[in-house]
Amino acid sequence: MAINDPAVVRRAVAGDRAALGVLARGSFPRLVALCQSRVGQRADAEELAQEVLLRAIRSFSQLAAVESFDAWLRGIAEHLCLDWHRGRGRDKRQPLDTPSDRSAPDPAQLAATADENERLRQRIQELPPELQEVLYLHYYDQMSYDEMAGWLGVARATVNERLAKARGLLRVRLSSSGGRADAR
Amino acid sequence: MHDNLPADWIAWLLDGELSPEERVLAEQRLQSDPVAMSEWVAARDLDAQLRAVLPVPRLDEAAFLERESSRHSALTPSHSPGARGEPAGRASRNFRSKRRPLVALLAVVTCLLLAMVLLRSEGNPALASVATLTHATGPVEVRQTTETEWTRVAQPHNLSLAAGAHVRTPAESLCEVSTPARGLVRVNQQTEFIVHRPEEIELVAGQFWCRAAATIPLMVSVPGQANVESSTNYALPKVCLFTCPSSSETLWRIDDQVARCIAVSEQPTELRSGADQSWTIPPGQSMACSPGGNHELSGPYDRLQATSWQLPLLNTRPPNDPDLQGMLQGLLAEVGMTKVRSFDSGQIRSLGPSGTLPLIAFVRSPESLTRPELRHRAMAIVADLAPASTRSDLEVLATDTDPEVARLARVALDRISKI
Repeated sequence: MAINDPAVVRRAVAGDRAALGVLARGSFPRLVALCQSRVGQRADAEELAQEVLLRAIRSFSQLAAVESFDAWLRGIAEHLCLDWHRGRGRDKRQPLDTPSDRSAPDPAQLAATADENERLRQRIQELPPELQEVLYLHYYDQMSYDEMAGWLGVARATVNERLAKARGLLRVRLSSSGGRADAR
Repeated sequence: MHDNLPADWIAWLLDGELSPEERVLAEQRLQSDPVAMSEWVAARDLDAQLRAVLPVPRLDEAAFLERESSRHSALTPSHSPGARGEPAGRASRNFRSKRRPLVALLAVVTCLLLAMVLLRSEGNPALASVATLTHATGPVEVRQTTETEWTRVAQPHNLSLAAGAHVRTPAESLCEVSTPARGLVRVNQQTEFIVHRPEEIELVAGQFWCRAAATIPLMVSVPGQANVESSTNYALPKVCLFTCPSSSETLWRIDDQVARCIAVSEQPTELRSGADQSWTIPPGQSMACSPGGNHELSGPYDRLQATSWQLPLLNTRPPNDPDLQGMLQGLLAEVGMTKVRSFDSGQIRSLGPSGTLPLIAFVRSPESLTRPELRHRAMAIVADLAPASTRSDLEVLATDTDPEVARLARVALDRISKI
């Protein structure tokens, strides 16, 4: 199941800038999901996702068939994440950055929720990468189970299993660490 | 019949993966299984937390394309368009780079196209609507599920709300929300609520009035401690989820951290929570849902007074709007009761035929049924003075279960027919 529309990919490869913009915007959240599950920090993942897209555009000539664009893009992303670890040796367990587009609530509210949000982010980072990725995909890209299965190249049942496992682990771990998996 | 649900049906319901038939079964299961309901609320709460800490990444498309262009320019010699097996698209772009006026024109067109794409994406069509903010008396603030910031909407009109959307009204605004099944929610000033899914809404702060759809119940959750035992090792959710029966009218508000439901319907309202808990609230009575999980009945409340804050919202409706008419009839009935209780017959009669309009509204109101003497006093005046314009009201009263009221209505109709 192709996630990116082959017709849009074809136009982008042919140099259509509008199609290129659509392709980049559409692919960005799922690339961030993949990269963040590999490198940990959201800011690094966003930078890597942009680099993946730039490399892909530069390498369009190497794309064998537009129908295999998703797998090809994933391959570039996987390699870049590996390079990132080899070249920069970042500590994967660093806490996640606060996203730049996050709103700034009032100080009292911030104080009340910052700990819980931070705890939740840390618990997510402690999940195995394949569970993290399906979680990020679901929340970053609003993908259905079938779409996630198509993008990841796994069965729908596997997506279901990973998502359920990720949520279950988060609930248990948050509950045992005094988090608020049970309340807003 | 619940056996037909998939094993992970709670997650599937949350993620919109159930078929319509399975969704109906899931709703029934939630109603009949308090443990499932508890797990559903806990799953939904975790989902809300995850949405809050995992906001959707957005690519600054213009900046990205600029970056791509500049990198491409740095890497590609301008004198060799299409050389060394470059892709056709790149070659054609290099060729165009020599034709500056055309490039400028293309850039403008591209920007316009991108702007159109971006504007079209603002509505986030991928997110299914679970409720519609139909109108408001002023600005409201909305935070859709994929957003981290509140957006101020100056004059909302039929604004789609996706599952998990938060809405709050400032001090100067009220708003109205309709559900897919035509349930209705009117939201007072300084109120915050969340629409979780079709026919389910959570009051976070403030107060709202709601009327469940004619065909299916409305689920309302408020802060509090759910009164169910959990068989899991998860902590219990800190919200109470109630089912309001179809067509029921209830007013929900949070005062001093205590959520309260006032039954506004003319009939007793049976609230349910889970499979085995239900409370019957008489009209005008309220039930407090304290944080400890205790549910106490109290009252009475003046139903009209309790809902009169809606008038600025109803004022935007056409004069023949049923809700507006109902509210005005309620107010008129109160005036009529005050008159017949506090003034003597001569004083009321001195007001002439139009003075009988509040009296008729009072006699037709359900509240008057417990005051037969006042009804008889009112009808004695109505029989002598009611104008011809009240014929339809009098025809209804001529079939009243109280024989004296029915007789006096017939007297009035006879008199009118001779005018």
